[in-house]
Amino acid sequence: MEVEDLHASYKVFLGASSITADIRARFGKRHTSTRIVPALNGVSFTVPTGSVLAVIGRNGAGKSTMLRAMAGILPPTAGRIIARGRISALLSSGVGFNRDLSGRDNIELGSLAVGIPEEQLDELAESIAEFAELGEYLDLPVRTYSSGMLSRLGFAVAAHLDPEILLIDEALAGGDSKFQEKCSKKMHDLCTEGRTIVLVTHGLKLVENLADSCLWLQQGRVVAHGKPDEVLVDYRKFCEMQDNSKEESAEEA
Amino acid sequence: MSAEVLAEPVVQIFGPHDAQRPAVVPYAKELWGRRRFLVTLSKTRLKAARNNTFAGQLWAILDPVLQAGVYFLLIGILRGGAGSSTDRLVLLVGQVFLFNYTAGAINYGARSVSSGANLLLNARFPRALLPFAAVYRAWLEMVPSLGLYAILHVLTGQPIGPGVVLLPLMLVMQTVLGLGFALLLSTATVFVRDITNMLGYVIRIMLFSAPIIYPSSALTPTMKQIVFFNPLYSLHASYEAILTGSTPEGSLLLMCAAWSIGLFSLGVYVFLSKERLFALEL
Repeated sequence: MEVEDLHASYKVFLGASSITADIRARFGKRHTSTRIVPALNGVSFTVPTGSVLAVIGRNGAGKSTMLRAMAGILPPTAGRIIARGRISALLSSGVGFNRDLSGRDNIELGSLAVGIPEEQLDELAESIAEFAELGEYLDLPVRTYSSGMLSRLGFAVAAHLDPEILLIDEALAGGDSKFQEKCSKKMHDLCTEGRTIVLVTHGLKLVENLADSCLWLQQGRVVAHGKPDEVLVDYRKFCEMQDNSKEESAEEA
Repeated sequence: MSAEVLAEPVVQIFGPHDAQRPAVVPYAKELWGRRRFLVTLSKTRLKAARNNTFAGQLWAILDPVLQAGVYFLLIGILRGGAGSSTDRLVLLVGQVFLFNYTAGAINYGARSVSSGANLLLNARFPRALLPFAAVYRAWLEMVPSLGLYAILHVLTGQPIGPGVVLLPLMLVMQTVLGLGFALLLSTATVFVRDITNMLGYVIRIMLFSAPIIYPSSALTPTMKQIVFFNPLYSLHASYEAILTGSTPEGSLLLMCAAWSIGLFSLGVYVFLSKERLFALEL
């Protein structure tokens, strides 16, 4: 997978404190009700087939936007992405779960959306439910699921859709340590089968254990890209410095 | 978003959103390939919407029956009972049932992309599946009421004329018209959310300016000129002819076809031009 000089931005709607302020913001001389936020600024890198790339960075670094662009969902404003293989993505809002539908219905919908043939659906639903340890919850509405169950279901769906490229955004944050271990093993298995994985995470242990390379993003730009242990040393130093300066400013205030 | 296939294995290139509109034929093929998704999406949304009610799926019939009853009562009261014959009631019920199909296509269609944000931001598929699924959901809601109407039509001895063979064609034209509305409004709603607030009023204007709750004979020539601009006028005037045992005039059928094809073509053009921007706006 190749990412070439990627630029992306998104629009945010700004709220106003009162009706009059809202009208001024929308129809006044200075139209301030929406703002374009530049999220990625000339990002380039390559992920070799069959390897795991971990993407790290503080909140707002552009990690999720980049993953969305790599999944072909968010169009970049400039640059391009070349993906060699079928993509399965597990992004921040699960696999598009409809909370009123059962886990089974959601699995069916998610699978059909990415083009899995109908005859494979039943078998797929069973193996996803087994992996996600849903038990009898499979046929209950998703709104009754705990956050851990949702995370497990999300990862299980994305990992079972036979992807050649798997994109995962903070998928393991909600699961317990036993399930995280299970996911790590599944990702490892997928890699040995020649699948490519791009993983956005704040879990630096996971990066050390699983990733072949690590990309550090900050304010939409690449700070470092290389071996995980090398990138992580600098990243940890950066985080410590940032946290210390925040504490100092808080004390001064 | 432009995605082109270069060689095996599948190679996809995602470029900027100012790239060309997707070509219609490959897009249509991809839509057809995902038809099972469309059917499942419509059915599961319908199921989810009614699961929490006591009557559940029975609302598919209760809704139009109650609606027809309200309009019949209203017209009966306004006319002092003069218009409340059985024939009039049956025609009114049929027209309201058929109108509900278009109203459903407009309502669900307009919200289909904005309410499908979760799905849209997590999976890559032809976005037109969402408004298509919305229209299919409206169709699924109408089918039981059409069955109910057919029973009512026969039991009350309403005439069945040669025009009845045109019924499937009329339903196709209504579907195409509904798709046109759904494609146009779903695109517009992504950029201007206020549209969903206006829908109720627009649908009511369309209802009152077409021969649905009153016969087309009640329209004066001046009124006919005005309601000419309602896309539903020719459709429901044709339905009225069919349901009362006669055949719709050729000019009505032509006007109906023109509205359906025109609105659908415009809808396809607008939707395909804008669909790559949806992810940026949602």
